[in-house]
Amino acid sequence: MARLFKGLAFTLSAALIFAAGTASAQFYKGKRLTVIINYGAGGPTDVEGRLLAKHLARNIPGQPTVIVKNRPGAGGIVGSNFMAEVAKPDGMTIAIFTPPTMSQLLGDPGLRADFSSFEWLAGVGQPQVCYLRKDAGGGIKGPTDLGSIKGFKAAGMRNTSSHDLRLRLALDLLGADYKYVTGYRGLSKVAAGVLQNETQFSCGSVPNFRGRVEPTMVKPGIATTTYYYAPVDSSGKDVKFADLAGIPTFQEFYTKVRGGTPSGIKWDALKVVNNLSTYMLRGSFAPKGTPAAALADLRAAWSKLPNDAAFVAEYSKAFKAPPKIVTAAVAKAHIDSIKSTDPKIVAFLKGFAGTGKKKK
Amino acid sequence: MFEAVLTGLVSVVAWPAVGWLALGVMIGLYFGAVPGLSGLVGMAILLPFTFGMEPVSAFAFLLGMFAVTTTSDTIASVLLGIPGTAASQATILDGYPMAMRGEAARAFGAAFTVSAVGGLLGAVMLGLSIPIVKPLILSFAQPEFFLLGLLGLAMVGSLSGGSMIKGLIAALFGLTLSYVGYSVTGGTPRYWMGMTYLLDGIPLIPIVLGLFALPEVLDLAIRDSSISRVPRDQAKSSMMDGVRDAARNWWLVIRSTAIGVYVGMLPGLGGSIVDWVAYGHVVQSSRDKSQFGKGDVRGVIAPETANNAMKGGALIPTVAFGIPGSASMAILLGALLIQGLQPGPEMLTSNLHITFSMMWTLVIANVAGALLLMVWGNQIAKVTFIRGHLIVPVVCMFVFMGAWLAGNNPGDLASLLIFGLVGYLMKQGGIPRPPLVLGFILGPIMEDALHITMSGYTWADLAQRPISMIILAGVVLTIVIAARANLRQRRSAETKKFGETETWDPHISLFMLGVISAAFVYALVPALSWPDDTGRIPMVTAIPGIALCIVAFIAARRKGGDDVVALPGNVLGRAAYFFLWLSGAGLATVVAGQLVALPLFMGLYILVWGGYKWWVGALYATVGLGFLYVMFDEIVAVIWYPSLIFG
Repeated sequence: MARLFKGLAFTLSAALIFAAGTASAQFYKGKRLTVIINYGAGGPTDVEGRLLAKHLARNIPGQPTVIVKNRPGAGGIVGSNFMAEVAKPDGMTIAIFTPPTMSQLLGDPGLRADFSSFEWLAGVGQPQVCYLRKDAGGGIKGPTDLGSIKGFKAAGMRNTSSHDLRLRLALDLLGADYKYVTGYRGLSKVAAGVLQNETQFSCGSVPNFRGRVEPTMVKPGIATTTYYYAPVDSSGKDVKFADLAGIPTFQEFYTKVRGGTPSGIKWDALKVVNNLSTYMLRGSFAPKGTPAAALADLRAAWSKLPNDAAFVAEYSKAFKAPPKIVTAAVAKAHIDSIKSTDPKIVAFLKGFAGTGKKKK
Repeated sequence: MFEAVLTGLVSVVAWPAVGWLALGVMIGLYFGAVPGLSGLVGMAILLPFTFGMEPVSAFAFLLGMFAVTTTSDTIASVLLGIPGTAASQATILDGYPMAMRGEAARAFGAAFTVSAVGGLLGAVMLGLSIPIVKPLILSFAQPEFFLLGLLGLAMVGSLSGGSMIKGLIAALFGLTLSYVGYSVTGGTPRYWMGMTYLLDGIPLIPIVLGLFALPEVLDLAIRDSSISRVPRDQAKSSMMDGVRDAARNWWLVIRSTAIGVYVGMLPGLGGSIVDWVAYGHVVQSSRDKSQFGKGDVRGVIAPETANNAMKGGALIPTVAFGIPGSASMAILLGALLIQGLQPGPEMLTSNLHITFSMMWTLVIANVAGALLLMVWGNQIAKVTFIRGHLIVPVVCMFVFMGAWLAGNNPGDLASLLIFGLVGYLMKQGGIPRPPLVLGFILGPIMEDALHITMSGYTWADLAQRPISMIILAGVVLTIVIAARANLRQRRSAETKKFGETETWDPHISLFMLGVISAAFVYALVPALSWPDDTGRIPMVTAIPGIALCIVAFIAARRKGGDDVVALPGNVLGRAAYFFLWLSGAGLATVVAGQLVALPLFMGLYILVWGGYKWWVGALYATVGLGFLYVMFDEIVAVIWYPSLIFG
């Protein structure tokens, strides 16, 4: 009798699993999946998002038709609010965003979405690489002169962006004598400013660095790389990227310039901003309430991408760097860390970014 | 280099690249002709199709489309007075009056001819300039961009309307509108009134369509006549007249080409001002200026040449330095990355043949696009003789969908209607509209440039920049010349002024000046308490704006000339009634979505305004619905409005 029950239980379980699998495999069959991108067409988020969407579609069971639509605005906030308030949680709409995590961290009044409430599917990371003109400050002998030259200008985009926060925190930690010039709209304009010698130092994502900065400035000998922002683990060690071997991390560079290791509130703030911005440079999620079957298919598709040879080849060709995809659980953990950030660091960053109302 | 030139040509004319080029041209002609669509929308839609293509085919497809949009956008500019692209408004000043005189075919003939020639000559000039391009582009930095923006505004403020003061007020108003949303430099949201829609600023397309398209269709609806005020049997000109005009003005074509190439090369800014620089040049260099703004064909030739020659100019900073000259070029940069190509020296050395294949694409596409339009031009020109009531509904459909495509946001429909009303009142009040749009486009560029200049340069640095000094002198000269011309005109018996409107209503003018003054005051008050980097430029704009409004109020108290004509009450009433109809279409969109609201509007308009039989209205609505579905749902894959009934 016991064996009969066991057999029945096994058969029933197998049937249920099979049925679930079949239902899952059928979820996207014959359907249209809309992928929302929160920046405008042609920009780095759009180009990367479309490439990801194209290969994702092949890996989703049922292979839905994928349509990509742009919802740009307000530094990615418009798209975020759309996903929170308008997008239907029916599995037919997902996001591939550059999530405006700094907006959530610093309490931007326009952001109504809570990133922790979304159903996260994956994250795509890329570190930033920094570069310095060789004629900065009267001319440098090597990259470590960054810590000693006088009066160079560092280019930024917006004082609340992760780009500018990292730029200033890092240079302050190095004790660099620089002038902060912000207002360049986009990394390509930042690079143009350095090329024109209007500014002498800045940073860009690996695709931006490899695709634009390296061929136009580093290879012709106009500029040199200095360091890249490696994420830092809980023990304080850098998490290095193999494709950036040969370029020191910020901690390594700091040790060469100042000796020792960085510390203090600025270092703590830099770690928070950098870890979040590097691991979650791009993120994919679905609205809260999306059916479990759809989520399972989407997460499974994302997990296949790192081993998808065609995807890796096309991504590496376009962005001159291998894709760095983190799982849904890791992405969710990073996003949830925003709310658990030390309030002292948040308050410091708000003041540092100048987001508080300041009268003249 | 010669080998690269030849290899580039051979690769473009070989199959399948030439097939993709041809397809791109056909798509580009459509995108340029339809108000609200543009080269930018086309690039965004076509980009994904290039994944997996080999480079020459991919760029033949994208650039084939891109090259011809400023050729076909002449159609909307001339026939309807709607700028096909936001910055190409200069053509309207003389192109639309030509259509009203029954000379649309002549305007087309001239425009298409010089578009082809401008594109061709522009590519040649560019190819010859490659050795000097790098120092030229690198010597234009933020101080020069700010001053060039100022020059563009000074030119358009003084050229587009009879009153220079009103032109400058409109330009400053446009600048002020551009400050809505986040200040890039300060991270502080400005004038957003708690609405997320405004956080990224008011979008451009609804403003342009509202300001230009709605007043013109309203005019057609009220007049109940055709676009041409001259009957068809009395309209004598043809496309060949336009071709002959282009040949006669060959030296102007060459100068305008040079303006297009070298101004177009300036990243981010060139495309916005190139039309106006060319138009300003032809006005200022002509002995006989009396017909500009009333249908002088040279007022079509100069900007149309320049805005096609500009395409090649914009390519070089994008490809050679990775500095996109415009949003469309940013997409091209994305396409380069997808192809595994890197912008930079390689594109001028080891990949020079690909760069030349792009230039050959622009050349071939320009010529092919112009020839195709020449074939159809006479037929298209006949639209000017069709009864206005048959044109208004379809134009409204394109306008509503164009505004919606901008951001798929309900706020865009509201912006469209609000700026439609503003545009109508500005037109009737003699306040020119082009300076407002140019101010709006240049606002962010100029603010960023000013901020970077003030934080990155000292006065001593600026004094050592000769190009900046030359441009500054140009700004002063433009204003002085225009002011003298204005004064001379006021003293002379000739009171008919060139520009947007020949007559204007003094009460509407005062009302609009009041509205604009209030906007300046609204902008100034909070700016006084913002940090410098956020409040500086709104203050620098609002204070002179208020001062100029006061001068304009005082000037308006003097007795007007024969260009001052009060608008009859019944015309204002009909205008209000038409706006109610448009608002109804907007409301119906909220309730039932565009696929119901727009065909319903079209059908009812034909019945009520046109006075046609029910089956004509039903047929019109059905065809409209079919077009909406095929074009916008299946091809463009638009996100439809989530209506109350259908969700």
